Amino acid sequence: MSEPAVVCKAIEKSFGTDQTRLRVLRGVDLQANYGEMTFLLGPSGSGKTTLLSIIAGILKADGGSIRVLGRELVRIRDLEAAHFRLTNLGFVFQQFNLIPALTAAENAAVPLLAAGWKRRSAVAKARAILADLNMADRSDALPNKLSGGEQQRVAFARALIQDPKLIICDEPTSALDGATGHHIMELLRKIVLKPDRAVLVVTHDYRILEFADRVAEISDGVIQKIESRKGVH
Amino acid sequence: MDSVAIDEVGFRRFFPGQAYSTGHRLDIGDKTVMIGAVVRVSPPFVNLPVVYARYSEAIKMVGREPRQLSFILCESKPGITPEELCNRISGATGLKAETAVQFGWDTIWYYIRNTGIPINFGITITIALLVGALVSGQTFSLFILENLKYFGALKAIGVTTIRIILMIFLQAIIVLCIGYALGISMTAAFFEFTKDNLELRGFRLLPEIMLLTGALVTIVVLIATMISVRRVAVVEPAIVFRG
Repeated sequence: MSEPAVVCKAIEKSFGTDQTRLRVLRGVDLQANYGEMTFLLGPSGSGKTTLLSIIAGILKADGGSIRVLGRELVRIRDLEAAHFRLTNLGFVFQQFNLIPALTAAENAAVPLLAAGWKRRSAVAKARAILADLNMADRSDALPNKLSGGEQQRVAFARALIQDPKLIICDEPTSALDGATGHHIMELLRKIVLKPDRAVLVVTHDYRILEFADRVAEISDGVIQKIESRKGVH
Repeated sequence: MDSVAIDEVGFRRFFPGQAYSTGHRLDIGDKTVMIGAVVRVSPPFVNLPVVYARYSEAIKMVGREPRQLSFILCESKPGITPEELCNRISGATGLKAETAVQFGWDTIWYYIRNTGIPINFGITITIALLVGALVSGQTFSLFILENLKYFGALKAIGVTTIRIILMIFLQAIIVLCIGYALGISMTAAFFEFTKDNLELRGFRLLPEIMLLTGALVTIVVLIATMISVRRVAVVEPAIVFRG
């Protein structure tokens, strides 16, 4: 782990062609270190979701270089990118995106099932992680029987189940009330963050800034400011 | 008084509510005949009473007509094949002679060429298939649309598109099996409950029909799935980051 978990250099990304061409990212430099929670902050349309998608290997950058967990992602093929995401990254989505027909444990087990694990072992591991997140008694509940905070914890369990070195959280508190959001961020900091794991949080919720080790503010496709808050916690 | 045999449907039509019995009188044309037997026979396509009589008596009942005979049923002597007998009859009389199988197909083709029955049945089946395809296609399409964000999330997590498509096809096949099992079971139950109903005699659920229905339903479901699944193939995983 000699290099940071995420290193973006001069990332460029545009959408559309000719007259409709829109430069969404204009030479973005960013890095996320292991053992830190890096927040990417910015208003709607600032390019943070596009940057997140590029870091996750979902979108390809038009220019610049991006290394995630030591792997260059600019020219990675789609299948390789999918495998890289499955085995190395954990995702927490804004709307949780839990599959309605699966129980909490089954939802948390999805990445393992996709990786070829047997159902029984995958669900057993998911139950263990849910127990770490104080969700042992809710393992068999369907998502529609869970509160917003509980659903987010199931999403954390799904993100953690492959023990990834990078967790990417997209607006993890925007669907939650203030108190639940605060509690979820505490959980993220206590249980998800580890010395050998980096957490990248995209948000525009200023109430949770206190949990950040590093805050990068993006606007109009450019990182405007990077602030270290290490030692605040 | 001449006597005839009458089929069950005919007896029940002329003597409703009575138990099968002989000795009843029946006026056919200008003749009064006595029922000498009530017979259970292979069902004709139409549900009209069938009376069996000797040829000489039948002539008296219906009167002389230009073409008195539709066909003569005969049996070959031992050692002579039906085909050989047909050749001999045709050679000797100049009339058409056919084996039982050929006669059966000739009858089927007669109905196909000369009546609207196959077209009506065909239209009914075609409409059922089209409606089935549209309904199942629409339902599947809605299912895909409603779950697009979950498919996007799975793609974002790292599940490959081909794997998601296989999952959807598996779901389609499970739905197909459940639907076919329910449908064919209800059909079989209908035939079981109506097997003693004389008005529905001849209606049977043949294994060939079950196989054909299964094949058609499979085609409908697979086409509906293939059309719907295109959305999943093109959905960008980045949609999950768009709130």
